[in-house]
Amino acid sequence: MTHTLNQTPTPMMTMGGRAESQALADEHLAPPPVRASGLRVDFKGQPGVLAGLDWTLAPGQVVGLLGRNGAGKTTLLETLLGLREPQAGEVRLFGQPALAPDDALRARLGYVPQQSALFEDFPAADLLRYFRSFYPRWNDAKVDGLMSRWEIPRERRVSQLSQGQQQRLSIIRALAHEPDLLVLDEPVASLDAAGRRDFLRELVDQVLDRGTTVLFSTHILSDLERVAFNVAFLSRGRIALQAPQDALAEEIRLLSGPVGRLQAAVDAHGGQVLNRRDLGERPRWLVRFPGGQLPASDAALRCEALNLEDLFLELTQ
Amino acid sequence: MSAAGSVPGHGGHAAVLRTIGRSLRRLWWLLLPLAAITALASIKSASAAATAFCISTALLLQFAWWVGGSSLSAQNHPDFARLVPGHLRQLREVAVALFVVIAVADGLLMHAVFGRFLMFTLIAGAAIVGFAVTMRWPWAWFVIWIAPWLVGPLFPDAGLWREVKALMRDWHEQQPLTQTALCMLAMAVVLWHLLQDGGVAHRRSWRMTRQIREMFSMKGGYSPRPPETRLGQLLVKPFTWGLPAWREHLLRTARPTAGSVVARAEIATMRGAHWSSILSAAGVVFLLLLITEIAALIWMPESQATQVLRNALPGTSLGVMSALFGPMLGATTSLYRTRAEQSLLVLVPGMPRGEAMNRVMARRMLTQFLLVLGSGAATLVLMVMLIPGEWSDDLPVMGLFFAATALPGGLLLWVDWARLRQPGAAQAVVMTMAMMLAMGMGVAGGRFFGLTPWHILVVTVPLTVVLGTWRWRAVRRMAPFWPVGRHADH
Repeated sequence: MTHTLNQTPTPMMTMGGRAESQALADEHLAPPPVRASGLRVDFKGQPGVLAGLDWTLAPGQVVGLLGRNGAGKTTLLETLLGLREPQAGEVRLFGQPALAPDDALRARLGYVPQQSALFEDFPAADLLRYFRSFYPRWNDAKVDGLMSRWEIPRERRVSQLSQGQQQRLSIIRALAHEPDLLVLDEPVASLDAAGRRDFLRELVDQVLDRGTTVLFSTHILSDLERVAFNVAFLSRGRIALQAPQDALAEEIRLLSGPVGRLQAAVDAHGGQVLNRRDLGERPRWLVRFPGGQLPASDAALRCEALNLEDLFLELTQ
Repeated sequence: MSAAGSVPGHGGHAAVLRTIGRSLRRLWWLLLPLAAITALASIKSASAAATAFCISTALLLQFAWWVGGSSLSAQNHPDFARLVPGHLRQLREVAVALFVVIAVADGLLMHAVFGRFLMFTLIAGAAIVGFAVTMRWPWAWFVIWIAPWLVGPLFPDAGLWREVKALMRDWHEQQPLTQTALCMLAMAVVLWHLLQDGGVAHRRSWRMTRQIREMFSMKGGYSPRPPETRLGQLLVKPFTWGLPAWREHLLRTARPTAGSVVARAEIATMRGAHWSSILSAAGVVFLLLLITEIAALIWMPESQATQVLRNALPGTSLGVMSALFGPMLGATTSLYRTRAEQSLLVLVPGMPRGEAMNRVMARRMLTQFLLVLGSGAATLVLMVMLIPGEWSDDLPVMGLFFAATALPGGLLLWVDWARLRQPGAAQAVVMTMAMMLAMGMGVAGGRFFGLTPWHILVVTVPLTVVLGTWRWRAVRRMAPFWPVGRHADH
């Protein structure tokens, strides 16, 4: 089941509001950066890693992808980029099939894979020069600025950089050709708090300056709270929920109580049940109330707001 | 585990042996050639079958030690050696037990054919310890297996070696049991101490042996690290200039064409298996060999120089072709290891996709294989031509026989890379055995049927063309090669 909430303006969104609202306005004119339909990927002994997944990203969106370990986040990101052929379904990037991109489309894509220790034999500067040779556009000023700001020794081989430096270098490489769609697979896993904040600032700048669509997976929920305007939950091979963060806070509630009371509350307030957990006499339902009309707690019914971490656990368990 | 029922440091031998057993189980198919050789020999006579069985089994046991020793070395992690009670002692005890069992079994098998149980036990034991020593100090591989081939012929009358041999032979004649017992004891002590206790030296050698182990097991984890000392860098530089130089050239002449883009992508993904890396390293070695050969021809009397060079050429020939083919066959390792890099390179403008990717890459891989093979063969021809006189035997041109026989082997690079599984030790063994088989077949063809490498080429060139044509159709139907291994779990 896929649920996509409508976006509403929020304080967080004002950071990237201009670019995003412009992008949303253009959505009907230009094909979306990512449109996946009916994606199915099975592994041997593990069917339904992606199970008929449908997903569309609007231009200028910053989407944080959440899912448990082994949920298929990396597989999804690879499939979206055309690096992995799905058994069924199709991905279109800016309207083109992801499996047969032309050079112009490829110049619009940026990717930071999960593994950061890549091109180990190259000195950092040579690695950037190497990638520069492939792309028609390359922002030397941005590269130089980030290399200095993130204190990456240019002559040191990638294998001799720390994990954090390797990850920063990988991010610089992905940003240097100014992509329109940036896909990052757990980009901050090896960064310390300062490094993560600096990276997220750079990401926000990128969105503000260029209206880049950003999709990144992470396990660090506090980073999502800081920067991802939209959060998507991958569970059981599908996007179980995608919504702006403030909408999540305002509209999602965890109800517990007798089944009759839960059903009555859902019916009365036009709720959509996202997840049901049967815990004996007091089942727990995760419910979205799109209109913001929330039921009140009483002796028989408990209605709780959830933070991102609790929501993640409820949705993905 | 119940604390009351267990004694620290005991009961782990079975776990150590199970780990070795798992490595050995994957190589069960090695029993097939053993059965085939015995069956073939039985056509001639029962005694021939028994002889073939005994010798093959003795060799197989040595190979089992190769696998078992590698497994023991892999289990001898510095952290466990230092922190887990009894772990190191168990490893050492298992190593010594295996040493004794295999050496005695080998001695008995060879005794059944040639007699002299004690002597063969001693030789088998020495081979076991020799391999273990090379696991600990990889440079010893060169000293034990390569250097004698190169240096020996230059000093055929070296007194020291002759004295040592005579001394050992005399001792064996007079006190065979004492000699065997003492030598086996000494070797067991050496083996015991080859497994280390977790100190600084252990950590240093662990890092080095891990690289070697990964290289030989072809598990895709091998990444040669540049030496840290200035002297090391200076020594390594003459052998590693090719890849960076070719990379510079490609970056200077980069164009948005499929050929240019794939050439640059190969630089990052093939690494040590890239032709520029192989040929630059091998080129320096060839040059040194040629200089040595020319120097011998200039400064030694002609008859002596000819004899020395003919004696040296089989080993050199073998070394030259191994130096070229080892890395080439290691392409699987490199490509598996760099699949994340390939994910990025597949996304760069100009990289061919779909069938076009397979066509371009397959063509380039085969071309590079032929380039490497041709370079080795050309060097060997040059070395052979420099030696005056007629050839009386075929050993000196073993390498050429190998090159001619191995020609169709280039098509092994046209596999379904998208479905590639993590390369394992079995693959390395198959490749090594295939290389040895090709070499043996070539030499046997020359010796028994009077064939030259040219005769073999008459067979292998058309064979390569036919197989290539058939394989080419499959290549075009396969999923795009990169990123490799992405369909392995489908």
